[in-house]
Formats: sequence, structure tokens, C-alpha cells
Amino acid sequence: MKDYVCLKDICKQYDNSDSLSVDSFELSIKKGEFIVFVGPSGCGKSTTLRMIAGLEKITSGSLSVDGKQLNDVHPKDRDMAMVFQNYALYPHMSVKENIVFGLRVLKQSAEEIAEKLKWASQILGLDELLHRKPKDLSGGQRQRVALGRAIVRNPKVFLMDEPLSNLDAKLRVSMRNEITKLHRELSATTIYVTHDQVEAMTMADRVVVMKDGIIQQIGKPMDLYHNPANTFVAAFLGAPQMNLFEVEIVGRSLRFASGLTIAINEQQYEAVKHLMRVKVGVRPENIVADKDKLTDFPKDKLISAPIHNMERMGNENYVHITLGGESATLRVDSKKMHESVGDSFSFAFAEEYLSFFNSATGAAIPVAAS
Amino acid sequence: MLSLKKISFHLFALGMLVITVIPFALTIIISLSPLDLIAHGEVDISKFSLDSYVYILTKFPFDSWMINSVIVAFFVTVLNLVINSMLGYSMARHKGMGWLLFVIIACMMIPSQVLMAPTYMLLAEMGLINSYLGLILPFIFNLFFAFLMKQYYESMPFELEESAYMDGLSEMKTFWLIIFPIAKIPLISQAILLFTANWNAYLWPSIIGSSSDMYTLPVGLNSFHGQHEQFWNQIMAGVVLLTIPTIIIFLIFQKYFTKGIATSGLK
Ligand SMILES: Nc1ncnc2c1ncn2[C@@H]1O[C@H](COP(=O)(O)OP(=O)(O)OP(=O)(O)O)[C@@H](O)[C@H]1O
Ligand SMILES: [Mg+2]
Repeated sequence: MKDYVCLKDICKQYDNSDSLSVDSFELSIKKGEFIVFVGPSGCGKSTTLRMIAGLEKITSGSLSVDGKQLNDVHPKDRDMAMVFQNYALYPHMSVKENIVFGLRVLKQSAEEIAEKLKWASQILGLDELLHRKPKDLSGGQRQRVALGRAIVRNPKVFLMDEPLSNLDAKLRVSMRNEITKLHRELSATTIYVTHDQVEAMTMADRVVVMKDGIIQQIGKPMDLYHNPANTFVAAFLGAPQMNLFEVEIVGRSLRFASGLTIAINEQQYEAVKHLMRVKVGVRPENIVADKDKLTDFPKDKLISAPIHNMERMGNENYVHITLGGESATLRVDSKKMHESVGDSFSFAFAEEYLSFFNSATGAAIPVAAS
Repeated sequence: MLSLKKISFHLFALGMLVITVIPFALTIIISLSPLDLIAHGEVDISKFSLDSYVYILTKFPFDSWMINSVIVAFFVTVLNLVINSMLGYSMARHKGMGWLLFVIIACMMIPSQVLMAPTYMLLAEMGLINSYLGLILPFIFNLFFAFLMKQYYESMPFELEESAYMDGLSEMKTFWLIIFPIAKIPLISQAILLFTANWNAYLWPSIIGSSSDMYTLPVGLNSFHGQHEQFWNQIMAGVVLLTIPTIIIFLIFQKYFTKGIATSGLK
């Protein structure tokens, strides 16, 4: 399929700022794709989204949708719909009027409008609320009205800026599923902004990870998770986050700051042998802590370290240990966990899952598959 | 339970009520009484009649004054609402217009009497003496209310306009369909204040409307003054007729009026 939304080398500099808020943003989106922009606060996600919407001027670069250059097109003529973080419902109109307002502007016929209203209010469960004013709705209901207002328009592109961030945790999960379901039914091209990596992982076809206005990596959620391009992406995706250690390469082993050394396999050695030091990353689930499994490991691979904190999640515990000044997190089945804070804890690295990063630049060092 | 505080508040309110109602009651009584009784300060309900009303409605062009008043007060009010909210909105959204705010505050400090002579000369120059435009133009906006509207719009999230753009509206349509109606509450209280003030306005209409076909009601009422006698009952009948429309308007919009005073500027 050919590209539907094309962002080429887009930069943004605000008038009152002397640095770029978005730097050389380059992305092609296919029709029907669900793209998520994710990154920490201030990384330029909203700015990029607003440039696509036309609410913010593009400083340089080019934006096109469906083959049409849009840089200087007024937002009203872009045929996009946006769901704002604060929903921005029109306070002087009822829910129904809010939903059909865009259709009225497009001068659609009364029957058409009534039909679309019925369809949207059914999908979103708004039937009972149509005559209320936005101020008489709960956050989740407002959010659904904002979604309704967007979907009836059937626009070329849906833009959503942190639409779930004002909801409580439980509602957020259920609305997350609603939106995913809605996207599956409508297969509308969607760009969704969030700072929540869980939303990014669960909802996206492809994720764009940003930091300081610069794209760090673009890819399918699982690709990013398993093959992060750098330490930032590695640490940003996944909770609890990936453990990163600065290690020295000594012969065919890695030496940790604590003095601990672990051996690496042939492919890993090939990848890092020309370096003195690397950052090594290991996800919490790839640290073996299950006592039954640990018996399979040779004695010299077992590591023990004191527990300095523990978070109980229910089915599992996040165990924080200190390894030579650096902190690491493990996930341990709560039924098999008998130690408490202060106790010494034994574990081993599942070494085939180690990731390597350049210790100066943070860029990933690829390891050939064995 | 009625506390001392509550009782004293109610007594105070009652006192204020009496103070405001007595003059109005007197106006009605005088308008219904014959002139000779008024002169002696007597009240006799058996002699009440609508004669003064009939007299002023038949002997004076009361209806055309009424129409003049309605036209002037209506257009001044409507233009004010639109222009004040446009001014306020643009000041709220374009921070570069800060200097305009300075100009506005400076202008608010000039007493309106000072402006009267130059305004008159300007309108005379434009040939607008004795015309509706001359009565209306000098009052089509109000800096104080524009300033209040600025405060109101500053508390409005800009995503509202943005979602109107996304819904396909131009800037101008966004103003008419979203920005203007959103401010319904402060605009209604403004409308009541402006309508009443202009309905009752005397000074300017008496300067600009020099021929009797351009009189507004208050100016017309003043012409009841006789050479040697004061026809108090007729004047008071005119005052009662003058007051009725503002009372009706206030009764209809009372709810919004108090709300608007309580919330203007705050949100
Ligand atoms: N109107 C503005 N004027 C100047 N600088 C701005 C403006 N809006 C945003 N910025 C700057 O641009 C950068 C990117 O901001 P943006 O709002 O896009 O971040 P974000 O990724 O959406 O963050 P958040 O998750 O907090 O919403 C920030 O450094 C911010 O300070
Ligand atoms: Mg943002």
C-alpha cells in the first residue's frame, strides 16, 4: 500500500524559543494505520500533532496527506478530526449538538446527520446523554462525546492528544480497549499522542519514540521492545524498565562495577570485542530468580545481592537489588518469594537475552543471531 | 434558626426595599391624581384616573418617541455586544495587542463630558445631527465591557476555537458560532445594563436630537415642562411608561443578570 500521510524533514521552532522543538521529523503513514507518538513530557509530540492538524505553523519541511501538500492549508480544509486532552467540547451546546456540529458545517442532509448521530451514539453508548450539556457529564462520558464528534465526520485522519490522561486508571484501560476496537471497526488512519508507554505498546500498529524533538525509533511495538535502537528506547518501553549496567570487557567476559564477571557467548563477543566498555541491558523478566530454574545454572553464574526495596504487584513482586552501586530490578513470582528487604537474594542473567549499547552514544550494538 | 445576623440582614434589605420603592410608588400615585390635589400634597384614591396617560399618549407624539428610543437603545445594545466581545476576544488571544489595553485604560480615565464637544463637532461635520446615526454611533462600544470580555475570554481554553477549526469553521464563523454564544451569560448582563442606560439616556439625545421628531422618550418627557406650570401628573405618567420596558426586560433576564455579575471575569 502506498503512503497516505507523509511528513518530510519537518522542523518546528517557536517564535519565542531559540532551539528546535521538533527536529527533522520524518515519517510515512499508511492508510488505516494506528500510529502512536510516545515520549517524555516536552519531547515535541503535541507540537508535531498540532502541525499535522494545522494548528501550529510548520517551520520547515513538508506535510502531505493523500498526495496533497498541506503546509499552508487552513485546519478547516484539512479534513482531519482531533480529540483534545481537555476534550474541548462546546459548552453551550448539548451532547447531540456537539456531535453533529461538524456535519452541520459540512451542510449534510438532516437524514444523513440523524443516521450518523444514531450510529455514533450507539457505538459509544451515548444514547442516554444526548440532551445533556458537557458540564453535566463525567470525564469518561466527555471523552466519549469527543470521540463521537470525531468519528461522525469520517475524516481522512484522526488526531488524538493524550485523550485518556484525565481519566482514572480503570477507565483508562477500558477506554483504551474502546479506542482500539473502534479503530479495528473503522480502520481510520489515526495518530495518537501519549506519554504512557503502556498505551503505546497496547494500541499502536507502529510506535514513534521521541526525545527532545528528535525521533529515536519507529517500529512495531514488539520490535521496539526486543530490538531498541538505543538506551533511551530500551529504558522507555517496558515496565519495570530494562536494567542497564556499565561494564568493562575483559577477555570473553563482562566485568561489572561490583567486580562481578559473567561470560558471554561467541556472537556477543564478536559484536563487542573491539570495545573497552559497553552498556549492557537486561529486562527484568530475563533475570532468572526462580529457585527451581536456578538449579540448572552452574555455580559460577549465580549472583547474590542485597534487596533494598520490594514492590508487591499481586501475582509478582518487583525486587530491587543493589549490584555494586548500581540498582537493578527483578520480577519474582510472589508465591515463591520468601526473602524480605535487607536479605541477600540469588539470581542469574539469562545471557542469551543481553542487549549491548555503545557506552558513549547509547546506540545499540547488534549481535548476530546464533 | 434565625440568628441575629440573619434578622439584621433582612431588616437591612427591607429598609433598602422601602427606600427604592417609595419614590416609585409616589410616581405612580402622582401620575394617577389630578393636578390640583398634587399641588396640595393630598392623595384621594376615589379621584384616581388615567387622564394624564390618555392626555400624553394623544397630545404628544409619544409613539414616535417610543420608537426612536427603541431603535437607539436596541442598536446601541446589539452593536455593543458584538463589538465589545470582538475587542475583548482579540485582546485575550493576541498578546501583542497589550499596548491596546494600555490605550483602553488611558481612554477610560477621560471623563465623557470632555469628549462631548469634539464628538458633537465631528458628527456635525459628518452631517449626522438630528439623525439615528448621530444618536447611535458615539456609543457603539464600551471600553469597560470590552475589558470585562477580555477577562472572560482569557479563561476560555483555546482548544475550543481549535476544535471549531478542525470541525471546518473559518475564524469569522468560529467567532459567530462559538466564541460569541459561549459568552451568553456576561453578554446578557451587559445587554441589560446597556439597554437600560441607553433607554434612560438624556444628555446626548437632547444635544443631538434637536427637532421633536428625533426626540427619544426622556427628551420628549422633558418637553412637558410648561411655561408657567409643571404638569407633574403628566410627567410622572410618562416616567411610568418609560420605566415599564426596562422592568419587563429585567424580570425576564433576572436569572442571567445576577449570574453574569457574579461570574464576569472569573469564568
Ligand atoms: N507555544 C509555545 N511556545 C514556545 N515553546 C513551546 C510552545 N509550545 C510548546 N513549546 C515547547 O516545545 C517543546 C515541545 O512541546 P510539546 O508540547 O510538543 O511537548 P509534548 O511532547 O506534547 O509534552 P507533554 O507530554 O508534556 O504534552 C517543549 O520544550 C515546549 O516547551
Ligand atoms: Mg502534549
